[in-house]
Amino acid sequence: MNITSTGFLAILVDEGRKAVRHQGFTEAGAMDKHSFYLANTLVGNSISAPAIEILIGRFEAILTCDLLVSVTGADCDIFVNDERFASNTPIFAAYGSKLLIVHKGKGARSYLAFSASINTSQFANSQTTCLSENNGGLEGNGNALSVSSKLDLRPKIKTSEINRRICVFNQHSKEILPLITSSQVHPKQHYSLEFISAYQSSLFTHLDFVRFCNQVYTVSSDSNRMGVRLHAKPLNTRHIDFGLLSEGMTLGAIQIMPNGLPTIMMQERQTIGGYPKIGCLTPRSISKMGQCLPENSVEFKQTDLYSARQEFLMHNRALKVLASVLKGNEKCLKST
Amino acid sequence: MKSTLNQWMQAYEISHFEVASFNGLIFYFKGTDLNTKSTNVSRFYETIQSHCALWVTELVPSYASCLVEYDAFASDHHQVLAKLTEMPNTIPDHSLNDRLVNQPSVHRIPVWYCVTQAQNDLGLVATEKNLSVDEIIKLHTKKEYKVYAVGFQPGFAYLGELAAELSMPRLAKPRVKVPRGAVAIADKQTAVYPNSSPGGWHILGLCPLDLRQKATAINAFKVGDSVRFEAIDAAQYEAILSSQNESKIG
Repeated sequence: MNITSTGFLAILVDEGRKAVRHQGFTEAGAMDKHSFYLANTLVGNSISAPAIEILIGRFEAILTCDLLVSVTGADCDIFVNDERFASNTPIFAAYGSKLLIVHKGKGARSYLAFSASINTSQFANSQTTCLSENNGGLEGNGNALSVSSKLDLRPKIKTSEINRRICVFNQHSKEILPLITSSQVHPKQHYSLEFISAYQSSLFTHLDFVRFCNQVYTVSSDSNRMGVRLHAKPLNTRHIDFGLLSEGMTLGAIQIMPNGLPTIMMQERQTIGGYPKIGCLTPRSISKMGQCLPENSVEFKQTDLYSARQEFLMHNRALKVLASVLKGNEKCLKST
Repeated sequence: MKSTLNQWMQAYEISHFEVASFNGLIFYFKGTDLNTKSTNVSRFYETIQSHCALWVTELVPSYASCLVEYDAFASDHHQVLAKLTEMPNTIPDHSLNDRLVNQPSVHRIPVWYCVTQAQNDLGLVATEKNLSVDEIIKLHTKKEYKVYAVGFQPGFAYLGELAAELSMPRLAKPRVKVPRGAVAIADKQTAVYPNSSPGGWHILGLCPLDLRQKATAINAFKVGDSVRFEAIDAAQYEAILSSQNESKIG
């Protein structure tokens, strides 16, 4: 695949690095895992296969082999040789055709998955691009994709299998639709985010929680793959001890800064940090955060550990059923 | 006999633990000082790591805590606690190779305390602390430091504790660019910058070793390890630097 336009930022991503944070390497990986997993599932890949994350894009590429592709995530128009296609569907893109993805408003990141493996160096079982550490990705040096990038793709399935999969999708579209709907994060300008209380939540007063959960936060333009900064009326932090020892930080941890405003720790966060944390987002809410653009708004709702885990397991169940149905296993539909 | 959660916490000197995410728990350790807390963290971290439990996906030890993330398909918080309490608190007898990986090691880090280089704060520290440059070098190389945490950037080890005579607050105005290999101090800590980055620590010298490469190597800094600094001169610094470049080409 030869890239001819990248949009604001297009990078090769996967699930992220594994078991290296104790050495100071960040996790990195797809910012909206829900859309990333769905894109891979739609083309018959394992959910963790590398895909392209396109930030508010006008992404254009010329195909160098027959591929089954799919685009998920942010609202966008998709064209293959000027023929229009819907997002969240498997699309046949033939050798030599032009693929165009144009962002049109809601959501920040689109995911382009393809039925091919890609040859790059690996670090900690991952091919993901890490912008903050200058490693990983297509060239192994953390560079984003550019207009001259050529992706060395090895197709995983034959053209006949591509056509068969699209047939299966069309035949069962009615049954498949609810599975897709429950597997994706819908692009919006305002999200309600769920969190579980975690870490230093006991340092915060009941009033802090009430305020935290009852105001609308605006996403700051000073946000990136390391963290998302939010603005609203600050929490009162006078009673909080900020002299904490640095400790391991989880994905989605909600750090309260000395100015009383939250920063959500995202894929390229530092591995350890010493600001107090009031809680941690659920996996679905982390994906929603990954779709937020500056000036979008969010509000927080507290949930419990069991609901968060339940939501995670149900989401993965939906993806597994979807993968099985798309393969042509109709029995799966009856069991749902 | 299975130990209860309380007994288990006592055995590991765990003061308390908290939820850290839907698939993570963070354990905090007791200790009268940072050194004792850090020793307890290391013992916990090394024991879990040595059992190679497949349900553990990430272990992040730090100053006085250890974050444990687990495979959410395999376990939940209750089961993880049960599994941890059932885990023998001894490190299993591994092959020699595994021992090398798991046991704390001593790292010897050569430092050129670059009196001649413009980009260091030796002079500033000397004036502020009323010490000669030689005394600073002596104080900095005299102690064996302990790795309290690894983070900030890959392979960046927070080492403690610095001699009280050298303890300085961070620079009022952080440097936009701290050179790669800079050996620096802040408060009661010292560290080597594996990579060039912005930073607010006072720089004392330069280390010629490529700590970026070391970060992924088998002898990477890990919490609980010991570090000694050894003073070298400009010629030795250049020699190590060029020998490293050669070995990379070869």
